[in-house]
Amino acid sequence: MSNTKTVFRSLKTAWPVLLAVLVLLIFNLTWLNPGVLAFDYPKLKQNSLTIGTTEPGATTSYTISWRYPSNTTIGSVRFVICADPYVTDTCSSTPASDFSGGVLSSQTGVTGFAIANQTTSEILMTRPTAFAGTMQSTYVFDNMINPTGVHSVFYIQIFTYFSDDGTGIPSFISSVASATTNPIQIEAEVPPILYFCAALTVDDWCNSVNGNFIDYGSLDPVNGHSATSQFGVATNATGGYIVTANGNTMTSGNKKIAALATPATYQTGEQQFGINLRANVNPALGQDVTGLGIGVVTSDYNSPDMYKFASGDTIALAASGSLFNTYTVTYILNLPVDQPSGVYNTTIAYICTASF
Amino acid sequence: MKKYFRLIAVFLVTLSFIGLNISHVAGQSNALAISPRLDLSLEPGNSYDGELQVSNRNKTESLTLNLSVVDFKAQDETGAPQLIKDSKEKTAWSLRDYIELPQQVTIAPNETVRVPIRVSMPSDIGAGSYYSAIEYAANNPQDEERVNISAAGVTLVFVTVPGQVKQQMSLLQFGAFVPAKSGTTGSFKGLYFSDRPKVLAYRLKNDGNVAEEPKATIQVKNMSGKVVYEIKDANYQHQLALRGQTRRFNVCINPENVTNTDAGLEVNSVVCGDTEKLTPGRYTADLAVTYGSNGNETRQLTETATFWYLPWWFLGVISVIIALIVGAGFYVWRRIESYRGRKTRRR
Repeated sequence: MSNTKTVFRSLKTAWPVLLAVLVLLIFNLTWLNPGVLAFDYPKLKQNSLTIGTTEPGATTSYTISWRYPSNTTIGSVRFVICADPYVTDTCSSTPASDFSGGVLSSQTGVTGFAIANQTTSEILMTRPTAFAGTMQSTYVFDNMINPTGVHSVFYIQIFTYFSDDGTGIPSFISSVASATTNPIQIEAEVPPILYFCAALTVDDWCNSVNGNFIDYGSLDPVNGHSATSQFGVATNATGGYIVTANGNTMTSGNKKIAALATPATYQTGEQQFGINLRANVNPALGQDVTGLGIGVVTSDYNSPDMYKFASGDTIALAASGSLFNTYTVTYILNLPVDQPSGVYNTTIAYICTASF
Repeated sequence: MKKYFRLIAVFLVTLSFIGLNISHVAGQSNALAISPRLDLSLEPGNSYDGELQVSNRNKTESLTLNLSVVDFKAQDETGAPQLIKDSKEKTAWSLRDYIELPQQVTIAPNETVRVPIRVSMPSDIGAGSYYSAIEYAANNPQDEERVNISAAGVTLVFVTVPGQVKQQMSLLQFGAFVPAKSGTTGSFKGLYFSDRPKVLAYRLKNDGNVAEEPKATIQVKNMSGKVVYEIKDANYQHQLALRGQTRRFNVCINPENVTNTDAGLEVNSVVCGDTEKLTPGRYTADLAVTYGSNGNETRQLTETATFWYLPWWFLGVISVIIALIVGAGFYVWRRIESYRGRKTRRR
């Protein structure tokens, strides 16, 4: 009986604590178990790599520089070429370089090193373990052979050690990067292609385009006006494209019909000039984007029955290469009964540009 | 005499008919295909002579294009260029003085022409990036009481002058990102209750004088440090951060390459696949950005971001578990109290 009483008393006192522990175990919350951060290792500062020539397979010099973030003691440094920068992971692939003939031709800052061991992909330089300050240190290796392959990005992983033979846990780890490219001479890349057309109607791939003006005839302030045109775009450029609409509102000399600066609905009897790229109900006109491409309409022009016009606005875009899309532009034109008379016109230029 | 008058009349009628037909037939193609980009590397004092390929896609009407060199800048944090057409002042990176090309070209229906272009860099120009746009504007006749429609294509020209450049990039922000449907904006987000995150984004500010194409890698790790997603190329579209631009680079956590072909054009694009490996919990994303090349110093920027994926069903399960634990604790407490009550009554 006394044991049961003791157990019950203990449970009564301890159950809130048990509950808290259980909850924390279930959630594995960060303040008890923050998990492993990828960059837990100390990193070098202001690390950089400069190579004499970026020509693939060329024999050149490598200048590697860094600064220790704090005073330390260093006995050896290992350089490893790798295709990826994550120094804590096993190198996924080793670029076809050759460091076996590299020569340490000069060193500044933390000095006294000599190459102790080297292979095609690695160099170990050592010295008697000694104090290393926070000054910028620079090491120049001559007779290094670049990785082969055109436009190949590669990384030099840097491991520094307390030991004088490259063993033990690294005290600092970082990586620097460079890339081989075509020789720096006059060169040009032939870019991909961009298809674009704009007219009253366009068909797939701009094979047929018809009409390049909208004739409103005599302007009607009671009923207003609406019409459509189309444009089509396709590109295999990796960055995709944007299309902007450029021009003034309907003008006649110094008289104009105000454009809709923000999206608004169709209202007869008011000054309105605007467009959108959707299928509408008021007026019953227009069409959503069609085609196999991934083009989209930007937000200000993507609401049915809401119209806007601001010259230079991006009205359509594709975030990457895209097959052909046809966009239908709905125009609205309204004017008050006291609109000054005149011949009103405008030119809307649709400009298509690749993204960079 | 009547015969001659008849002939003259027929001749005049024929002329007027021809004239009417001309005014109806005369049209203008607004359909073109162009090279969207030209990249060059030119030493100071050197020139490039090349050709720009321009096609008239219209099979029945000719295409007359007005060519002009226009400066541009970054429109926003995306890769959309903003043409600067009304300013007489040149940008610091302008190529307007260095590009020579015809002012106008006419292309027959369904034909392709090669427009000669010459880019000459002065001998005293400094190293860095220079860029402008070549605009091909259809030369349409304009008329009264009309909305005239015209099309224009643009080729972006980038010239890199090698040498020691000023490189200065800073990493402003990194984390899980939700793009807006329009693709131009969006927001960073750290907590996901419904859909799994599919996109990460990082923002770089370029204060140097060279348009940088950074190389980046990202690892996404779960709470126990295991890598669940690794993005070896977090700039797979080779996007640029222009001079003075703050550029946002959107990256799919699980990028999937998609190839589509139609009408002889093969398009390779990247779509964001499902991130099914993201089970409920906390994640860290580690970013390493490297920039600088071609003999200049390469520099690295690193950042770690965290985000949570806590779907509603998971929160529901946790709530039930907590409720059960609380209920069990309450039950134990009531039993204890009941035992004490019985003991008191016995006394």
